[in-house]
Amino acid sequence: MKYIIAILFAACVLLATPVVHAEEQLVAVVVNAESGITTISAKQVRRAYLGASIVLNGIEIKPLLNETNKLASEVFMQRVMFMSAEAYERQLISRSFQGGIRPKVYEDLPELLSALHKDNAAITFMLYQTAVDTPGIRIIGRL
Amino acid sequence: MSRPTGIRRFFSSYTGRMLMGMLAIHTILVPLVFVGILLILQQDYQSQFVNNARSQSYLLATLISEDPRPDRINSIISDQLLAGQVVLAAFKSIGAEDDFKEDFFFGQGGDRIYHIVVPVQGANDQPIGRLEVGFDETPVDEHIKQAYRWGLLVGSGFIIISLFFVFFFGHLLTRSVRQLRDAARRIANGSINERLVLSTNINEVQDMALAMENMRGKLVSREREIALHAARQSAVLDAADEGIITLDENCRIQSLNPAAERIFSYRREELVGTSFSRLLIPSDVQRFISPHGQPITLSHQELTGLRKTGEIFFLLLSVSEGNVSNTRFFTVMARDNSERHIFESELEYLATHDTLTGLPNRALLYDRLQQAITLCARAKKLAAILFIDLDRFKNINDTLGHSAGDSVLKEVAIRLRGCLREGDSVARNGGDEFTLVLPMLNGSDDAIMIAQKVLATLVQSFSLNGKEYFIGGSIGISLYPNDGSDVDSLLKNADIAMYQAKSSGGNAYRFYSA
Repeated sequence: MKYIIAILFAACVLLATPVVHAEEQLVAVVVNAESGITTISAKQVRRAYLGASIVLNGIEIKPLLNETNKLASEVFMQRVMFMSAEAYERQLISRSFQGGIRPKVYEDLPELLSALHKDNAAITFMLYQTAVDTPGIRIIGRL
Repeated sequence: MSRPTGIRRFFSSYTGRMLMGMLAIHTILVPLVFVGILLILQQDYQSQFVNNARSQSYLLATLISEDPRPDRINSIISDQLLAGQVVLAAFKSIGAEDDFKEDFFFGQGGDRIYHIVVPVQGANDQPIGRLEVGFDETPVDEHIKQAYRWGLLVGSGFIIISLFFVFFFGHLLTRSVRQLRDAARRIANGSINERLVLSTNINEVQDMALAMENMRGKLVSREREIALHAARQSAVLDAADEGIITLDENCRIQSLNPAAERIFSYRREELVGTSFSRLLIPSDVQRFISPHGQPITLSHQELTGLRKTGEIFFLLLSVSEGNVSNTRFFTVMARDNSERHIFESELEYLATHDTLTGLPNRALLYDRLQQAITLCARAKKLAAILFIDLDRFKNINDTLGHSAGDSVLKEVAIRLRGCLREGDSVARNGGDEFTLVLPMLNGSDDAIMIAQKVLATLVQSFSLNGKEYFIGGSIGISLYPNDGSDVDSLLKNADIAMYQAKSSGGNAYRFYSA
C-alpha cells in the first residue's frame, strides 16, 4: 500500500508539472508600442503589482495580471513577487481592504493584449519568447 | 419460483439492498470527497512551501545586498544551511557560470529540492550577483503522504462504520416488515382467526398492517360464508334421496353423495377416479357413454344398474352437462327404480288376480280366453270354457261365517289348479264362481275328462274347525268355435250350461246346447 501511494503521488506530481526549458524561464514586462513608458525595474514592477502607485515618465502605470500561462505566472511570482500565487492572492485581498488597487486579471491572451493596446499606461508580463513573437507590444523589462 | 438462500437471500432483503446501496454510494462518494480534500491539502502544503521558499530567498538576497562582503555572505549562507530547510545555497557574482536550473513548481526536476535563483543588487539597485538556494521538499512530501495515509484510513473507517450502522438500522427498520411477513405466513398456514397486532412507529408499515388486518377480516368473513354455503350444499346432497354423481369428460367419477353410495353399495373412495361404466351392465354402457368416451346427456332414462354385490336393478338416470372455469363436467342424477317396478307389478297383480285365492280374476280371464281363442283359431283346435258354481257353499258361509267360506274358496282354488294341464287357466269370477279355460283340445272328450276330474275333487270333504263338510260343483261347458267365436258369447253360453247342470241337482256338468 505504501508503494502504491508513493507511485500515485509521484504520478500526480509529474502530471501536474509542466516541462520547463531554460530559454522559457525569462519573463518580459511589456507595454503597447505607443506607450510612453520606456523602462521599469523589478522593484517597481513588484510594488505596482502589490497595489502601490508607480508613476513612470509622468504616467501612473496600470498593471494587468496575466494568468493566461501558468509558467509565466509562476516565473513572475518567483522572480518578481517572491511569493506563491496563493500568497499573492492573499496579499491582494489584504491590500484591497487597505485601499490598494487590485490589478485586473486576464485569463485570455487576446483580451490581455487588447486591454494593453487600449491603455498606454497599462503594463503586463509574459514569457520572453511570447513577447518577442507578439506584434504591437514593446518590452520594457526582462526579468 | 425458487427462494434464494444464504448470502443471496441476505442481499435480496431490504437490509442487504440498503447495505449494497450504501456501499455503492460510499465507494463512489467517499473516495471523491477524500481525494478532493487531500488534493486541496496537497496544493496548500505545496503553495505554502513555495511561498516560504520564495520569500525566504528574497529576504536572504535583501540581507546580502545590504552588506555584500564575502565573509558576511558566507556567514549568512552558513547560518541558513545550518537551519536545515535550506539544503544548498551559493552566491554567484556577475559573470560567473550560470548552470543552475531553477524550479517554478513543487516537485519539478524530481530531485526533491526546490531551486530558486534571486538577483542580488547592490547600492543604486545595481546587480552584483545572484543567490542560488535549494529548499528541501522532503518534509512537505512526507506531510502529504501522511495526509493520504490518514485519508485512506479515515475513509475506510467511515465506510465500515457506515455499513455497520446501515446493517444495524436496516435490521431494526425491517423488523416490523418481518413481523408482517410472519403474520402473513401464519394466515397462509391457516391461522386466519389470529388478529394481526403489530407494534411499530413506522407509518408505512402501520398502514400495511392495517390493510393486511382488513384483508384478513374479509378473508375470515368470506371463508365463513364459503363454509356455510358448502355446509348447506353438503347437507342438501347428503339428504338427497337421489344419487348425485359428478363425472369428468372421460366418464371418471369425481364425487358422489351418500345416496349414490347406498344405491350402488360402494364406498366413496372405491368409486372416485373410476369409470361410471362399472355401475352399469355391459349392454347398457353404450347407452350412457358416447363412442368418444364422453357421457351422453339423458333425461329420466331407465338403464340397468349393477351393484357392488353383482345385483342388477332398474336405474333411472338423468345426465346434464356443466362448465366451470372452462372445464366440462357432467352431473348424474341416479335413482333406484326397482321399488317402482315392484309396486307396478303389485298393482298389476292386484288388478288381474283375486286377492283371496290368488287366481286370475275376471279381467285376466278375458285376456286368457282371448289368447286361447286366437291360439285355437290358428291351430284349428277346440277350446273349452268350464263355468263352475259351487253347490251348498251358501250354507257354509251362512252357518260358519265368511271366514270359513273364504277357507273353502282357497281350498277350492288349490284343488282346481291340481286338475289343470299345462297351458290351462283357472280364474275366480267372484263369489263361489270359477272359470276354467282349456285351449288346444282335440275334442269335447278332453273337456269332459277335466270336468269329471273337477267334480271329483270338489265332492271330497273340506275340513273346517275340526269337522268335515261337503260341497260340490255345477259345471257349464261351452266350446270354441262350436258355441261361440268370442269371449262374451262363450262365457254367456257356459253360464247357461252351468245353470242347466245346477237345475239338474248339481254336482254335474252340462255342455251348452243352443
